[in-house]
Amino acid sequence: MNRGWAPLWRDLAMAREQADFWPYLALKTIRLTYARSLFGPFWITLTLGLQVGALSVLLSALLGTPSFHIAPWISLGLILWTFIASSLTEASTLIRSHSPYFFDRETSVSGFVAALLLRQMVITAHHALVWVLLAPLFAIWPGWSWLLALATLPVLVVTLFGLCLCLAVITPRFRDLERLTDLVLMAGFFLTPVLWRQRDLLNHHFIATWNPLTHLLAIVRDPLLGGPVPLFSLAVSIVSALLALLLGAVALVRCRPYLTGWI
Amino acid sequence: MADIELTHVDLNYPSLGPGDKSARTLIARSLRALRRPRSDRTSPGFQALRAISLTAAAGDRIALIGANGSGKSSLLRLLAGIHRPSRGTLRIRGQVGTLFDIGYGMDGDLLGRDFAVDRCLFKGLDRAAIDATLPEIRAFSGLGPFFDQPLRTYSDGMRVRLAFSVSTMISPDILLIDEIFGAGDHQFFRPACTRILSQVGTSGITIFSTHWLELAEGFCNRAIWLDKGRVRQDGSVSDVFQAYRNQRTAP
Repeated sequence: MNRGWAPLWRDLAMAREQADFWPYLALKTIRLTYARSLFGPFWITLTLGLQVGALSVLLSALLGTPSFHIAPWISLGLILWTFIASSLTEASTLIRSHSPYFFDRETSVSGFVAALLLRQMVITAHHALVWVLLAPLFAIWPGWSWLLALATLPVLVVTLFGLCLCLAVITPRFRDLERLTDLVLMAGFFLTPVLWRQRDLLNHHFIATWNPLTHLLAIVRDPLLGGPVPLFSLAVSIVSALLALLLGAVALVRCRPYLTGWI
Repeated sequence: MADIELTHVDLNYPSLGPGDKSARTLIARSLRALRRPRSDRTSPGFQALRAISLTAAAGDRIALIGANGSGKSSLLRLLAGIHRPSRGTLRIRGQVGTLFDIGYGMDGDLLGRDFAVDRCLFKGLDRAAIDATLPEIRAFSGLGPFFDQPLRTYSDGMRVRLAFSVSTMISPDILLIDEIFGAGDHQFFRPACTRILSQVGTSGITIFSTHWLELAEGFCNRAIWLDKGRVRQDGSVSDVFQAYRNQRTAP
């Protein structure tokens, strides 16, 4: 039956009807994860801080570069990559892990995806504390360019929203995609300038240039390091965001009517 | 005013077993399919409801009966908007509320109060309405000080009381109830049924599936008997229940 875009509008209407639930769900999950813990969600900060410290020491020893040259790059790379990878990994099992909600009433996939991203943004804010503490050590002071990063961050979030929506509705039918997501993200971690810099590549520059994740990282990371937003990367990222949204919307329209039959 | 109209509605579930998408199954199935004519190659899945046509109007309190697997839960989920019809048309006017699986989302570290907030938000209530409702939920559940304790300290009975008290706090135009009176504390469920009646009132529709016919006799004014996904009989409670009992006792 051809219903056009109706499933999308219906899903958005449901998200609006349950508008107060999504932020509550996002924060509840974090509260429950760290319930009865001494440091609570600051374990998230500690974990990333330790990762950044260990990798900075290791890479500076391997590359012969002073660690204060690479630590800011690595810490921002890891903060942003963790945001991207955790969101996509969680999206691939989102519907299955919340299946009782889908059998209680008509509800909204886009609402659950929004709650997922909100939760990941709260976690990223805890990660960002590492950056806030580290930046002055490396003589990087907050400036106007940090505001630019706040302006470009929504492009990354919108891209993730589209991709997460797509993964969330397709994985209940094709469960191999859960494993495939992990695999692609593992390869992506090595092929994206998270720990290394694009300019350090001796050849095969296309690995970074043709990788949309390079540009999505650059539009947030570069201004935080005090530089301008690279315009080419911004253009690629905006196009990626629009394509991801379209992909998510089409996947939702195609899959939503069958979703509860697949769970 | 609430009303429901289903015309020739089918509901098919895809048949997805644990091994259905494995490479081995796909290859074996493709080889078998080559030997069949092209028209037979699509998998029909499982047909849960077949050609269901019915209407319900304000004031209807419908008991949905039938053997296990007859399609009662599928029909209720279809009416709730959880499943979409595979064929036919479904028209519903009025806000729909459900009492299906009332115990999900009960994490041991959640306080009873937090669970109540969580569930009410999911059902679509806003924060102001929930704040006004919490004292009533606390009083009806009879949990006393346990309402502010983590759920891991609750007995099974206390969990049911809490979940039920929360779920019945919403007043929809159309209330759909699936088998929640099956077992347990009858002393609690009697007032619970009275509450459901007062919730929907005369301007709404209540449909509930049950095997507890005695309860339904005092509560419903119409019965629908489902058999293998089809409506076998639709009429007054006494007629339909009599036919259903006769069929069950028949050799």
